[in-house]
Amino acid sequence: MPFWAQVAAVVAREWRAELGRPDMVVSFLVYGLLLVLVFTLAVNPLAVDVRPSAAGLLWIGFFFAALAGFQRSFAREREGDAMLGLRAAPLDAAALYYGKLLFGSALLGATELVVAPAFLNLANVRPVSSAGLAGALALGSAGLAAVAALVAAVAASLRSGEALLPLLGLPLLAPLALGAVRLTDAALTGALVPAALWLRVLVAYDMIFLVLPLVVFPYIAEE
Amino acid sequence: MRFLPWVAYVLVGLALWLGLVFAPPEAVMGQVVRLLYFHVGSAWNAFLAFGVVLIGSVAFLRTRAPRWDRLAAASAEIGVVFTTVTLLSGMFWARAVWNTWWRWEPRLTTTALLWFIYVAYLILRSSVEEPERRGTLAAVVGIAGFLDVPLVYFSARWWGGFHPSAVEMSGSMVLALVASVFAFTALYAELLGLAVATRAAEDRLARLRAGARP
Amino acid sequence: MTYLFLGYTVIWTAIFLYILSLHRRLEAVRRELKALDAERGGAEAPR
Repeated sequence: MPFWAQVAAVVAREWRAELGRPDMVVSFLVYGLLLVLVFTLAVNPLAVDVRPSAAGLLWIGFFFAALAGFQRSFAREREGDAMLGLRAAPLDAAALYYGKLLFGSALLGATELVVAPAFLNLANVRPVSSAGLAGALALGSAGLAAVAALVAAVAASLRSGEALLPLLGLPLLAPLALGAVRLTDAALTGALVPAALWLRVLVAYDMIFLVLPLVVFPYIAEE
Repeated sequence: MRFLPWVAYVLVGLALWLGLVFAPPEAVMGQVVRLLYFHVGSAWNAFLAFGVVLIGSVAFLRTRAPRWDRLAAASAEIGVVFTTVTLLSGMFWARAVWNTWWRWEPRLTTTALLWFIYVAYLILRSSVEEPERRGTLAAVVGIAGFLDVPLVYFSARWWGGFHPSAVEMSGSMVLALVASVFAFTALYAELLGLAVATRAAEDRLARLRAGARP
Repeated sequence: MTYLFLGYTVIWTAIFLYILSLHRRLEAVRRELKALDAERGGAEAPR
């Protein structure tokens, strides 16, 4: 089977699993919305101008939502011992990663379409440039999903993996906390930032962490 | 190899003397400049150690030889110790010269993040029992963590900041600095040998125990 | 001067404690290995 067909097979399998029990959607959405709610309660946008920190709060929500969602995706493999089943099938380990990444990214994107408007409404922020906002979210989310999926795969084979997930994931996501947040901030509030530089950081980040799993994921999946 | 501990400790003693007694106080900073010698030495050791973690991790994934994993693990541990020393000495220096304990400045940000990455690496190691699995997962984190570092550095640089990279130094101050870097490198080598030997002995003990219980 | 003193104290204590803990760990493991070997009457040759 060619690589892309294997990836497609994994995506189809994820889709069926998600229809059976919507673990990932629930994690993404509930985490995303819950954090939005808690941020709003904690910062109180009625009394304080949250515009300067809105981008950061939004991304912290996405970080945790992505880590939680991908954690479910890989924990699912564990529970059904499907990781073993997949390895028995003639399937490239990297195809497993990219299939899950593709499916998870689509779900994450859909979640952001719900969470971002909800947060911006609650926080009373009108984006200066919606297209710029969409671009910043898309570029950042690609790297976020890639790293979250990789870290979740590592954590899935640990006893106390869930507890370790943010500890492993957040330091790796730090460049996004700078780059993606600055670009999002520019799109939201019109803040002046060196956009070209941040774009380069994001593109480099995305490329590194989209390619790295191709090399290292087969080692994680083998057992 | 038997002389390595002596070389390391004598060099450290010499560097201490050079830094504390021989080198003069600096014109602007005064005596506090003496912190810099070991600050630079430990920062160099930290990066060296994490570089060795990367080498050990890649080699372990390729060869599956436990000794590479032991090398990576030992080096990560030492790296965390020296990162801690770098951060602490930097903070004391900053308190004296900048009048603040911390600044969000590229190298500080990067070093703080390095600390978190490799602490997570060590916690990950401690939570996996099976040696081969532990080595594999740790290697993946070791590689991903190292790749993250330049991105953090450049991000933090464009975020804006200031770090004294060139202090005006007299000849004896340069000598103290160079001596401290050499002394710390020797200390790193000595500690690495010790930490690797410890892990090798621990692995052997675990094997013997596993053999005793069929 | 105070911070110089504090800084030196803290960093060298940290380094010293780490070296000490490494030595103790190695000693402990070696002792256990020796005990285990003695228990078996040298049945297992050291690898």
